[in-house]
Amino acid sequence: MKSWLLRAFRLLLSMRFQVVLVGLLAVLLAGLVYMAGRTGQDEFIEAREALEAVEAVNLRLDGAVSWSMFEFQMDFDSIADSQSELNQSVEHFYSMVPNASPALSEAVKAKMVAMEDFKTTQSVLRNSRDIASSLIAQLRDQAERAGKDVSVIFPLERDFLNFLSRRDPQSSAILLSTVEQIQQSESWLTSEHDWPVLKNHVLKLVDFVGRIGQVMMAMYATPVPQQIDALLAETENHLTQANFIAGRYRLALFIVAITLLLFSVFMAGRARRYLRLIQRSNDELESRVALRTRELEEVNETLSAEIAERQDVELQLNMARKLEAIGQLAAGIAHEINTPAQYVSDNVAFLEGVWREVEPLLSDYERLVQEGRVDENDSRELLSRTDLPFLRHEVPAAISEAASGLRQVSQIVLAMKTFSHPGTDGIQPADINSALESTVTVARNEWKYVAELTLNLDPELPAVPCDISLLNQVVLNLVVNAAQAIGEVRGDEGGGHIQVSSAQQGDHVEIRVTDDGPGIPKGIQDRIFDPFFTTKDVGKGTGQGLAIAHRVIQQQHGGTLTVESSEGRGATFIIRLPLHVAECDPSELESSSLHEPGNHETGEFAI
Amino acid sequence: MKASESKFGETSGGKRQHILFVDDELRILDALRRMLHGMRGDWVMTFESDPLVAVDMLREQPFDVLVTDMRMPRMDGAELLSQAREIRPGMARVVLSGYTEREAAVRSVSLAHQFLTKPCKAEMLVSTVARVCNLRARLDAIGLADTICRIGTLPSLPALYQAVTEEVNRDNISLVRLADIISRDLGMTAKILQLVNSAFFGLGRQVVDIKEAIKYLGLEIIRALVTSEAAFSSFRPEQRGLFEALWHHSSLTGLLAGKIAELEGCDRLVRGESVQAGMLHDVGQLALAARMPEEFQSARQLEDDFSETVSMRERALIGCDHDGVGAYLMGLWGLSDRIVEGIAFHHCPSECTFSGWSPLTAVHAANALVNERLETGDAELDLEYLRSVGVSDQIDVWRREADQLFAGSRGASTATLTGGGG
Repeated sequence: MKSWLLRAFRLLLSMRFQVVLVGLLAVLLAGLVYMAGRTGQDEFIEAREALEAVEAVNLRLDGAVSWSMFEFQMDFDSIADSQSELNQSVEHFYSMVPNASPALSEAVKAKMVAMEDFKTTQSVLRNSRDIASSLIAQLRDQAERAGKDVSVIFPLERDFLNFLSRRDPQSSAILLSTVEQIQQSESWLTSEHDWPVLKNHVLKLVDFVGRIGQVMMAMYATPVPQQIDALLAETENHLTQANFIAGRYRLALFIVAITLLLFSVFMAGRARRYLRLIQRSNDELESRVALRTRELEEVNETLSAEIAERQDVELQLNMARKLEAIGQLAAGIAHEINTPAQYVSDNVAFLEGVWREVEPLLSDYERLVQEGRVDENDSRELLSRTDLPFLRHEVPAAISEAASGLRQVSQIVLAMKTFSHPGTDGIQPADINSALESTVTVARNEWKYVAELTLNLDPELPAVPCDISLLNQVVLNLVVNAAQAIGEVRGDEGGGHIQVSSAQQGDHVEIRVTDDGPGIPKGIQDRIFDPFFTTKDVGKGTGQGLAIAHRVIQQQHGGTLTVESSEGRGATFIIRLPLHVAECDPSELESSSLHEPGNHETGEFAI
Repeated sequence: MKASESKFGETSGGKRQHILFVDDELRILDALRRMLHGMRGDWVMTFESDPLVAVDMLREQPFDVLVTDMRMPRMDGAELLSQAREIRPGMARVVLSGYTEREAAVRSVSLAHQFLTKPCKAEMLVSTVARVCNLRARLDAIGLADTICRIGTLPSLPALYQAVTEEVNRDNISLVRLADIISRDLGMTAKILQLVNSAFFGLGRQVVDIKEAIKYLGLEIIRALVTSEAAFSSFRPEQRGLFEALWHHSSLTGLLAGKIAELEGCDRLVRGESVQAGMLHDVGQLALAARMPEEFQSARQLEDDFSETVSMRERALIGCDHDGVGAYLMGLWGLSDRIVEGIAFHHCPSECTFSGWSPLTAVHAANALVNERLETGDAELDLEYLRSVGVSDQIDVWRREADQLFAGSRGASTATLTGGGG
């Protein structure tokens, strides 16, 4: 029971239920409004008004009839108007209340019939009166013409007028008697043909005056007003009833409206509370979002600081790697330079010694010439003081070797310059062949003790779009690896072979670095490009060289770096570079390398 | 240079020295041949580009000096030097390398007597080769060439050897501690001075201070020298007693020689040379003990009559006293002439042709004054020599200095030298 109540209460509180309730109330309200309009109140009021109009018209008609009767008006227009008005208003009433009692209609019809009687009677009266009046007036003229005393006519005139104004039986009787007297006394009148007419009309007048009263009475006797009253009373009754029902509806309407209003207020209150609640949770949410955003921003800042730091460290690492690479190369290059420096210096020392030896001879010879006593013995003596065949053989050789040594030094220095600083950054068309020559020269000291190196360069090779400085390092890496691989099997005995070649293959350029070292076992061929994979002893290599080389060729140049090798038969590393940069957008590559921290390493790398 | 000419600088009679040059670069050999053409009166020179052929040549005929490159195809310089030492132990061995890597020096440090780097000036090459030629010729004359030239390292005192090994394996390796250990050891001091003063490191000046030497060589090189066991070694335990006494004596002589040089107002270099000459003055004893232990022992056993000094007995038994052996060895190792002189003539300074003040003066005086106090050996002050140098009136000052040194250092030195008696 309790749980049922609780459930009902919960239902009552639930928003959905409240919405449904409001809907029901609204429907009820609308129904009530409709029903209140259907009580017939207005119709009854209109019906009453119609009835009242009928009553008014009826009265007017009666008035018009009375007026017409007393005034003897020949004109029945106002009566006819009122008649039609009455008919119309009655019709109007019945059209509104078709099921009203037909008694009124019948009464009106009866009245109309009576009205026709009246009008006929009235017309006869009027006609007779007019004729009689004019005949009485003619009587005076007749009397004068006949020379008779006019005064005999006077009683007639007086009584006629009296009759006309009084129209009662007494004056009628007087008039009739007067007429009889005159007819009796004045015979001359009777001869006149007008008299009978006059008399006839007077009789008629008297007759119709008496009749018209009856007609009027009959007309008045029609129960029109009674019927109107009856209907009015009925209508009034209906109206009262309708008013009562309407009052009930209004009361219900009021109650429902109040309920709805209260409920709406309640709901508005709840809504406001909800709204406040939502607002509050919204605020809370916002503040939490703000807090979270701030936290995220802080994390973001920390992260970017860390990224910056990482980039810094990477930069330093790259720098260190570059320095390491330079240092490692530098020892070799120093040796490459020190060797010619040694023999240039020795040859120059030799030439210096030769000059020291020859100069006194020349001075002595000069002295002998000046003294004008150059004889054969002296000359022989001079010549015997030096080993001319030796000098003839060695001095030109010394000069040419010194010169070649200097050339070699400058060649190495130039190659170093070309290798390390090509003067361009990023992807630019470059002369691959000269780059390969420089790289091989720079790395000479790394391979010359273990192998002979042949360059097999395609002289027709077009300029290849590449980052030449990076490519140099990749090739250097491959050459050094090749030399180390050969060194593994041959030690310092030498006799290995390395071939570096370039060739165009359709829309690609291929650079091959081939060695006859131990080769790469099948098992690890697909791992040699992995970072940190190395077979070298600890401290000999970081295992990064090939991984970085692979990335440089693939990601920065859109090319490929592959290896072909069978164990015991050496290895060939193949770099394929596209001739058309369109295959890889350098800007995209650059940006990707900028955003990918790992790619920083591709900038430089150690050997 | 002039000072030592009487004994170490002269060319040896009419016999021409035979020198073998090995380098894989033919143009180097050609240029050397031309440049050294003027030396053909003194030297017979052979130039070979293939080290394997050079080994064969060494087997076939004797050579006095070998000058070799380090990095060569088919056989590297270190291997060639090692084989050459076995085939011709009495030959002087010089490295002429284009490598600037210090590891190369470490690799050959116990195999070669001298290190030259390319490009090497003609005069430098000639003077170095001439010097080892002459030293070797003199050793050959007394039949000690094979013994002395063979020496690659000098043994260290076990305690100091252990200390230096521990020190280089520390995480916070200390240069000061390292210098302290090395400067108290004869073998290590000699080796470090040999290395740092070789042309290999391209140092234009002499370094005689061990701390400076370590600083210059770098801790990595020192670590490599110690851990490779090629440069330093420890002598056998049964010789401990004798060597501890020698170490004590040498350390004190070095310190006192340095003090004397300081009192004489010498510059830093001469002070350093005095210290090192004092320290190394008996290095010949070490060499003999290591290489000729029997003769070394017997020269010290016949003590019944005092008619002969140890040096005299050494000369009789070995052909050369330990002064001479030490001087030859240090000369071969490229130590400066003034240090070599100080070692060679510390017993008999008058025999030195140079009669002015030199580190020899300090070493002679220090050695004699230390001997007075340790009551060992037979060294006495050569008053005539000191008078001729003009420092005889200083002897009392030096003696006081020696007394102070003994008072101050006895406890410490005996403690560090594993408590050995002196």
